[in-house]
Amino acid sequence: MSWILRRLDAKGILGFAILAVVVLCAVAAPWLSPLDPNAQDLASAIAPPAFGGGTAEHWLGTDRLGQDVLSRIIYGSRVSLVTALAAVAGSALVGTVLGMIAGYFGGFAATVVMRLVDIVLAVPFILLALVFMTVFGPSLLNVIIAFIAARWTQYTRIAYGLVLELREREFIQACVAAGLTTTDILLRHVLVNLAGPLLVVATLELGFVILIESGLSFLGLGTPPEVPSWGGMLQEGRALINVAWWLTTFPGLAIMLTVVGFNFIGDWMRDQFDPRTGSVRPTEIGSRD
Amino acid sequence: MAAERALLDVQDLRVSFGEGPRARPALDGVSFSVRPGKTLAIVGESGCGKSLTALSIMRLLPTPPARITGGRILFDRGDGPALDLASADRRTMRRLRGKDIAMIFQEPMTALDPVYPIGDQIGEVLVEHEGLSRKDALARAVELLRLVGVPSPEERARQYPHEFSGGMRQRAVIAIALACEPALLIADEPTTALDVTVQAQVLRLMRDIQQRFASSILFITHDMGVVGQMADEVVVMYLGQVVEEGPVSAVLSRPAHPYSQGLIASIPTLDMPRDRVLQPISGMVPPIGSITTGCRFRTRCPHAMEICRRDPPKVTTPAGNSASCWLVEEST
Amino acid sequence: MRDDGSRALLLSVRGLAKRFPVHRGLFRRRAGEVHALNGVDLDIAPGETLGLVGESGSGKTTAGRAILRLLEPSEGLAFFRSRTVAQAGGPETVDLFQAPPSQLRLLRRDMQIVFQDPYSSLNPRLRIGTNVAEPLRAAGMSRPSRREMVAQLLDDVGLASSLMERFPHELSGGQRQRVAIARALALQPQFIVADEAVSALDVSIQAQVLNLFLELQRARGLAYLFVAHNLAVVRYVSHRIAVMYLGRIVELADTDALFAQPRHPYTEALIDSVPGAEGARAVVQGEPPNPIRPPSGCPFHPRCRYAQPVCATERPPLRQITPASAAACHFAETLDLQGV
Repeated sequence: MSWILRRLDAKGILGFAILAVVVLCAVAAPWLSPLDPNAQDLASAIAPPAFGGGTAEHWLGTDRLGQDVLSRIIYGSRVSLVTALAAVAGSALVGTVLGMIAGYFGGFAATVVMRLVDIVLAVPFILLALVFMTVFGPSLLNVIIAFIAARWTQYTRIAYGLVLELREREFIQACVAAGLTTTDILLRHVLVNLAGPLLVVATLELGFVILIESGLSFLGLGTPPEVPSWGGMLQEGRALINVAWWLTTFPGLAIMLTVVGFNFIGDWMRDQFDPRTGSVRPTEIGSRD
Repeated sequence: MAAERALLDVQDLRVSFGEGPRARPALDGVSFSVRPGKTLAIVGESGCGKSLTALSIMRLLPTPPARITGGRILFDRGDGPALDLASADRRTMRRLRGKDIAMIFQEPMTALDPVYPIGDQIGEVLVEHEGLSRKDALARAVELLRLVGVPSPEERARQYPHEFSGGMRQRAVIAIALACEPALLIADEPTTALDVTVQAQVLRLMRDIQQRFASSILFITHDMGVVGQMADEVVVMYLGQVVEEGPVSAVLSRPAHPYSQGLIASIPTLDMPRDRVLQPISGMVPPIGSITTGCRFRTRCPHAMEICRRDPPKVTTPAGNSASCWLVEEST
Repeated sequence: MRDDGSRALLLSVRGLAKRFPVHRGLFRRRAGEVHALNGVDLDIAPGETLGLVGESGSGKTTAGRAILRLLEPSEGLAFFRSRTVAQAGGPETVDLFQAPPSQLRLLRRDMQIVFQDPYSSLNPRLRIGTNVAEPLRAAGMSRPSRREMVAQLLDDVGLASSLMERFPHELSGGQRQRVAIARALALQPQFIVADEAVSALDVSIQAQVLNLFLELQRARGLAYLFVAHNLAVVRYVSHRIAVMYLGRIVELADTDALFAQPRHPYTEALIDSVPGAEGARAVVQGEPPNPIRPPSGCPFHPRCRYAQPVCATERPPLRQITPASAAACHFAETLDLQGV
């Protein structure tokens, strides 16, 4: 861990700080949130935030049903994080395995996998999600499945290219010569060399998934209304945007900050894995002749 | 050497990597001179600074992190006082490069631009430096290709680098370097990437060209055989310093510095007895900047003594080579 | 050359061929084949070094890899006297090219490879110890005995066992090459292919590694197929040398005989090309031809200064010229070629 701390720059620190806050909200939501997110209080519906003329009881105001906005945002982080982690883990797994198989074995396997990638990439993601949700009905699980079905291609493309190059490297040949099984070579020797770049992709994908999940919820295709989610809040607040700005502004800010946080971490990790900007080995300087 | 004016006189050249207290000296007081019409070879292993020396002369050092921190690189243009390349401005350098000093790199493929025909690439130098029209430049390019032994040069001038074989590409690179008949040709491992039979052809070509144009060559190589074939004088470098220099015959047959001796004893040759065992230098080259005083070779030298912690004097032997070593002084 | 029956050979290759498909055009249609190797025969005795020299496109690297089945050969036989297979109750000699996967796994313990580039031959993300131990792991050795064995192997190749915990990028090129040799030795093979194993190293390090190869051969009775482009290096380590040109062996001779009296004009051209103080020797014209379009007849005839009309039409087979040398030249007996 200490090497991570030593290499952190401003972008990295900010990214990890935002991530820490979001994770804390998701894990400790019952203790952190001042009120029950689903507790309706029609008497104090559409109350403005505390600093905008409202009361200290509802810091960020309340919605049409009198539910506390702050509590719903805190609970909403759970939906965003769970969807993002599950979707990214699933698509990374599927995509990496397919990419490794296509790259290592080549030939027919590569043709099939890479043509499939081309097809999936040709379909607009929102369209795919719309069709999927209409057919199978909106639920958290279906959102995740839709993501996996579309986003595995990101990992496959990168894994495929890297494995093509790795396969020719002599240490892989040495493994073959040493009698290692193909599974061993793929898991112990190929995968470790893919891990870095794929981790960067996965982090950037986390931000992307959160953004799109909110979009789906906004369209009413994501999570059911009783589960507080950032996208769902935006959708509910849309109709009242002229009277109650806080209903859209605060969930929007939550989405934006979280996505920015993941992108910062992704950028920072990319810098770490890039040989030109990452840790430069002193012995390499001046060894050009 | 003093009587004749040197074409290139490098004096106490210093190059560092990095800034401030973390700066590490990559070239540490390098001095040598190239005489008109002669070939000087710089020989040494990875990290000795031979390529860095060439890049310093061309002022093509990757800055940052590398930086010239001292010394002079005097280049005699034949008119008035010699020009110090170490402190020359960008404009002067740009006018000099390709015209007065040309460079041949190791990888002919990366030295050529893949999207332009070979003829255009040779002609470009002439348009830039000699003010020739495009048509005249192309005609001259064909002549140059003929000169470097490219068959049917009229057709070849219209072809692209990928249509040339490795040896022909290096000939094209040499043609570009020769375009303005430079006084000094710097060749950085120009034949290392070539097959042996092709290497022999290119080395012969460079020898012929030198005789024809009376140009000087600074030849950078790790191959003692190439040194023996090409050079008049040789400079042996180790860890950013010149450890020995002198006429090729003297340095190769009677090396005075223990590093030169070790280098020569570790190279297998075709005429050495089959049962002779190579005597490699022990250990490996230490990282740049790890030894900054005394004899830099003392950690690997079989004759190292206490006095080697102090900077060794430069001593000239009766054979004409001079070495920086405490031992050499004792033996003369 | 040695009398074939007098010693039990370790490896005997006959008619090795390797063809690669050539794809061309917009639809990557298969446009033909390149013959990277064409009817290569060679024998290696236990404890012997056979040098394999040639320029780019000669097929020397392909030959080494095809023998180890890192590339699938297109044709040929390769009889190998495998200790491991015999111990497992198998036959005394096995045809490497016909061996089923299970037997090939056993055979891999007997034959290993050391590559040219010490920077790409080790897994950059694994520690040195793990890199060296991979063959042992594949052979089913337990973790504690692996550690002990790796320490011993590093010591055998002249490295401190403390390097085990380091990563490849922390080592110099010479150290990495020693690690690669240690890994090749891990399963105590009888035969190692050294594929340009010293050409990427600095001269002083190159000499260290060459001497290491010789010491290991003496101590362990190893046989080497030593693939290299540097004639002097091959001469230093080899008992016999095969000179390759365009996928074929053009001369195969005892080392002393090859340099004293080359029997093929291409061998003479290679010797002439070695840079040195003389530098006045004849320079051969042209460059190695593209294997996609090999010349007719003798593959060397367009560059050969002794070529006659017959050379353009008939390809000379490799035949014994003297007890010590074989050459594929129509005029091998009559030409007076210059050695060293």
